[in-house]
Amino acid sequence: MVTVDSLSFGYGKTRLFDGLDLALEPGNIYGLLGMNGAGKTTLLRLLAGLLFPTGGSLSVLGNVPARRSPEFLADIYYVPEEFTLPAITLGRYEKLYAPFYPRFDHALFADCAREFDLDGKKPLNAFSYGQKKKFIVSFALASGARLVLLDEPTNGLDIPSKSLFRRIVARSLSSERIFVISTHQVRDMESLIDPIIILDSGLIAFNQPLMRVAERLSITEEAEDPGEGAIYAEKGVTGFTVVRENVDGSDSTINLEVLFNAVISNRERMGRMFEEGASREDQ
Amino acid sequence: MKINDFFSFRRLWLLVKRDVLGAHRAITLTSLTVMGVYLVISGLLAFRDAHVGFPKFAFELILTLGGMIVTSRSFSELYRPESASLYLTLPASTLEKFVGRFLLLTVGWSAFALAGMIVVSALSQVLNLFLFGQGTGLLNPFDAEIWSRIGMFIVMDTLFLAGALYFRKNHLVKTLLSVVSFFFVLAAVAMFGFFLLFGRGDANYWAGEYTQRIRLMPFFESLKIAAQVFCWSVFPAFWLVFSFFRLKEAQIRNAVQ
Repeated sequence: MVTVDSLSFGYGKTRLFDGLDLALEPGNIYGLLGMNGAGKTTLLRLLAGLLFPTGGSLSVLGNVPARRSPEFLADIYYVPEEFTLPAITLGRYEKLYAPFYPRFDHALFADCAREFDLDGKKPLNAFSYGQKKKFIVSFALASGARLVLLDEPTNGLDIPSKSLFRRIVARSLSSERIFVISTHQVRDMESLIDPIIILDSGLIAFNQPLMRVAERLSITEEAEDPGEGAIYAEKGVTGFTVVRENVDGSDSTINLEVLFNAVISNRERMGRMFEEGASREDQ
Repeated sequence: MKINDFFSFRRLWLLVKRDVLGAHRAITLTSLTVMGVYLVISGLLAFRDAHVGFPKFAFELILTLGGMIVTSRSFSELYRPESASLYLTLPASTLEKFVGRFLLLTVGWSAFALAGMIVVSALSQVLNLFLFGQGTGLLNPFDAEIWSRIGMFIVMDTLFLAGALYFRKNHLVKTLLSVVSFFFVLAAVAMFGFFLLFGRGDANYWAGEYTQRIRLMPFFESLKIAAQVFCWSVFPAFWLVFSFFRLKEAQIRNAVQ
């Protein structure tokens, strides 16, 4: 369980977060979306104890991240977007680093390395960017950490590896683990991330499971411009992708890119809509 | 399972093992280079005229200069965001990370330099005796001066450890510049204080028995003892505490702050 309460953080005089609230529950793969500079990486770093909040409170699996206690660090794994690996082989890395993680799953690591086709004889620093990503993701999943934070994990992965990544991540999730994936590559993550968290202007603009999104919204392809009647409309080659309130309970596939744009351009309306829906459900 | 959050010798061992085995290629390459340079220089010295003091000189140079360089670079991974996050999130306490590095850089480095120099000096002695009929001698590990140098190195290294953690780039140069600046200021303050206490504006002030009397003053003896106590305890303790908190409060703000 992760609880963020009235979190404040900034770089110098620039405030990034001011009163950010968030709760993450185990058994989910959260997709963290936001525009460039929205603070996705900063939020992941705060959760990993790599940055210290200036206000509010942050509790990750019962720990205060900024203390960076070994118990906490053994229970989280942060995969940054850019990282360097030492000039040692995969096997030696496993021997040197796995003992730090009491719940490390050697069989899972071997499976992931095999499925990602990682070369066990080559030094890790000689791996390509994509291979390094596959390696570190494999290690993160095998670490047994209950909170796995992945920052742009599909950057640098080739097309077959992206689907393999989705399969391996989905397989590694258990009822007590939380995965948070920060990404701009929403199409890579469709069918994997749920719920969706959208960061905007230093606050959580949206945090909903896809099932609820499908209940509240309908996303359709239409030939004509819907005008004011729609929450959001996006012009495409053949017509318009239109987001409307789902009043008749129809089923539609959720396009994450369109959902993201709809939230960013109609933050207040979307917020109200989901709040009203939630209060109706509570009654 | 509850983990000991404060200090664990197991995790300390894992950290030391990670640091050594993770950098074994760099260590091997550097050691072979230093070894090669030593063999060439000792060969040249033996060829011209046996220089028996060379192993001790080389040891002190490698211990001090090499130690300063290695220590100054020891936390450079912390100042690169792409390596800092993996290091800072490694499941070990700050104390373990700090103690592990400190032991490696002081005790570990001294032992490595001493053992390495004993082996290399023995190897060069055999080679030089065979080639030139004379060698540059062996390094004697039982020489008290060597152990005194190791002690001084460990004390001095605490300052370079602090420099490695404080400065973001060019750790060695910036630490050396800071030390030089500090001593300039200290010398100026000492001279001013000395002038206030003993200055008379008399040209013959420093001459003759008056100077002798001043030299024997108990004040100077106390000052000497205080300086020794300061150098061997307060100075390293201060820099160690400073370095520890610097590491504890390290954050990744695109470069660690």
